[in-house]
Order: sequence, then C-alpha cells, then structure tokens
Amino acid sequence: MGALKGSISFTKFKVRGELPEGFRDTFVERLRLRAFRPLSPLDDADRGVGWCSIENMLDLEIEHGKVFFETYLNVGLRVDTWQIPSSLFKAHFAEAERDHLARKGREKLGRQEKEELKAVVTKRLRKQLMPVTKVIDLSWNLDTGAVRFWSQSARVHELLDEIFEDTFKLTLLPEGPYTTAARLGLSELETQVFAELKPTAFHAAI
Amino acid sequence: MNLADLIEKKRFVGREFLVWLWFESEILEGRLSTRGGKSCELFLESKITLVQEKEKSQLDGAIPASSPEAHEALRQGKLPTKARVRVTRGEFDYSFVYAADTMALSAVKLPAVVREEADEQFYERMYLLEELELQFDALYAEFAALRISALWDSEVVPVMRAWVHGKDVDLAAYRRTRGRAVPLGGGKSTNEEPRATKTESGEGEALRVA
Repeated sequence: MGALKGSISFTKFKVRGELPEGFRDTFVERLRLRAFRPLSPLDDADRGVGWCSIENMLDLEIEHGKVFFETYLNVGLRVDTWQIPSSLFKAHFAEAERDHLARKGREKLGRQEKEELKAVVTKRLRKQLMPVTKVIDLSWNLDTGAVRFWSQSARVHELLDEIFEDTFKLTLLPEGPYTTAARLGLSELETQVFAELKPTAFHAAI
Repeated sequence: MNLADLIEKKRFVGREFLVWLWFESEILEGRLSTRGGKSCELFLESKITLVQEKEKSQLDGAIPASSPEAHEALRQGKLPTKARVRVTRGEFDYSFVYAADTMALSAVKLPAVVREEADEQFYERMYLLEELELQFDALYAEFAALRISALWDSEVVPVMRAWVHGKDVDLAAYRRTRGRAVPLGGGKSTNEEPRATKTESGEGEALRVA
C-alpha cells in the first residue's frame, strides 16, 4: 500500500516554513545524505532509518527523476529493525553464560560482564537473521505544503518528525481539528474563540 | 495556550464534527451543502465506533449509524471516534474511514482509476484524493463556522439534542440557523484584521466571545 498504488491510509501534515531558493537541488543533496544505509550485525544500533526511492525500497540512490513527480516530492522512509525473538535470545544467552562461567570457573556473572555477553550474543544472532524492513511512503505537495505519510502510528510519526527536520530543515505540523480550522482561515478573534471551546454535551436532557 | 496544547486539547472538536455530519446526513437525507457550492451526498456506513472515556461501542452493519444502538450510545454520552463515510459528488464516489481525533483518512476507496502508467496513476490518485479533501474541508469549514458562533449553544445544540433523543427536528428553522453563521475568517484571510462580531448587514451572528 502506498502513494503509487494499493490502499490509501495516511496521516496528513502541514509543512511549516518556506522552501529555500533552488530547493530541488538542495533537497536531493540532503536526501542523499540521509539515504537509508543497510544495518550491519556488528553495529550497536538496533534500528536504521533513512530515505529510499518510493518505487523500490532497495534503491538507495536518490536522484531528481526518482524523487520529483511534477509538483510532488515522493520518497520512501525505510526503517529496518533487528528483532531477535526473546525466547531464542534467552536460550542462546543461557548457553553462552554457562560456557563463559565454566571457562572462568565462576558461578555468577558480574553486571558489566552480563551486558558485554548480551552484546556478543546479540551480534552473533544478528548474523543469522535478516532485519525486519518497513517502508512508509511520503508524498509532499510542494505547492500546498501538504505532506501525506502512509502511517498512522505515533511512534513512526516521531521518527518522521526527526528525519524530516534533519533533512529539509523544515518542521511538520500534524493535521487535526484546530490546525485544519486555522488552515481554512480562522481570524485572530476566531482563533481565540476556538481556543476557548469546551466539549458539547449532546446527550444532556432537552 | 501554545500550539501543541491547542492541537491536543481541541481534538474533541473532531468528534463533534463527526456527530454533526451524522446529524446533517440523517435530517437532510444525506444531501449536505456548503457555501462554496461544494455540495455532496454523505452517509455513515458499515462501521462506527463510539467512545466515552474507557467505554467503547463498535457497531457494524449496513448503516449502523441509523441503528437504535448507535443513538442509544449517543444518549449515554458516547461520541464517535471513527466511522466509515461514503461521499458522492457528481460522478465521484468515495468511501473511507475517518478518524475524528486526528482527522486522518484510512482505507480510502477512490473512484475508479483509469490510468495505466505508474506516474499517471499517481497523479490521478492525488487529484481524486485532493478533490475529496477539498470537499471535506468545505464541510468542516461550515461546521467550524457554526461551532465558534453564538448560534452553536443557542440554536444548533438544542436541535442536535432533540435529534439525539429521537424528537422531531424543525428542519426549516435549522436551515435558517445554518445560513446565518458567518463563514470562517468573516470572508477574510487569516492574516487580515480580525473581523467584527457581526457582518455589516447585521445578518451574521456574533462569535462566542467570553
């Protein structure tokens, strides 16, 4: 599912701030700097976040033709995460702990030792697994400043906020009842009135 | 109140908008009009979720919003947080799930897309989607104009309460009330001077200024 085909489920944001002069070249350069980089089992990070082509999650070479669709900027936000099943991790850790203690002739691991052994087991298991990959489409109408992001998860929205600002040096404002009313043209006085609104009790007795 | 607070604390307005759409759809037999000529047919269909704090009613069926259970949930003080909505405008027929708190659309079914090339399909999908959003914006602008006016408490809420309690609604009076609300911005853009609380003709109704 996504912007190009499939089911349409998205959250809408409004971009705050002005597009810089020559933004098309600037944005492509910045997207390249924040393009997705595949995770390595030896890295400490358990998650990788970066941009990819909207048409192919494996295509990490960001170019004008892949990003700009007339007045739209379209990219995929790729999020790869190492997910080791906890029962598998526990079994491997118990085995590594036994071996380690036997080698050292001891009965219990120290706190520091335990953390180090966890890291070793994690990296060893990652070599046998593939990270879980998720790609979320983003379509930005550069004329209206509307961004449609094909996820409704608050956690993913946090990732988007961070990488969007880092990449484009602009911030995102989530759509909601207030922001929509403001976009549709609340005057200053109406904004004050909106801010004072209290919930209506539709069920109250007549 | 800062912007983040304003966004979070006014999310309930999205639920009230959904109640209003439901109310208008029922009393106007699905034919909703807007000032800018963006009129459409609108029905709540197949699924609606109503919530009050931790209590939740999820109703499915052909038109669950018309069921006695849905109206009973409203009478208990529950408000809709999510509903499947069908909007028809001219040849365009849309169906989507509307999330009231975030105003997000999901599972959107667009009118048939006829283009074959991937990029042409994208432009057509965006065109159809933006047409739907314009329609929904026009309806929200109508609602918001009423919601911030003094008419809301004095004339709109009593009619909506009567509808919630299954009483007769004076349709002609409601139409007159709706027509008296001053459009958002008083016809001016956000950056212009705040408008007076009444239009020059005196036809518009005062804002709810405390």
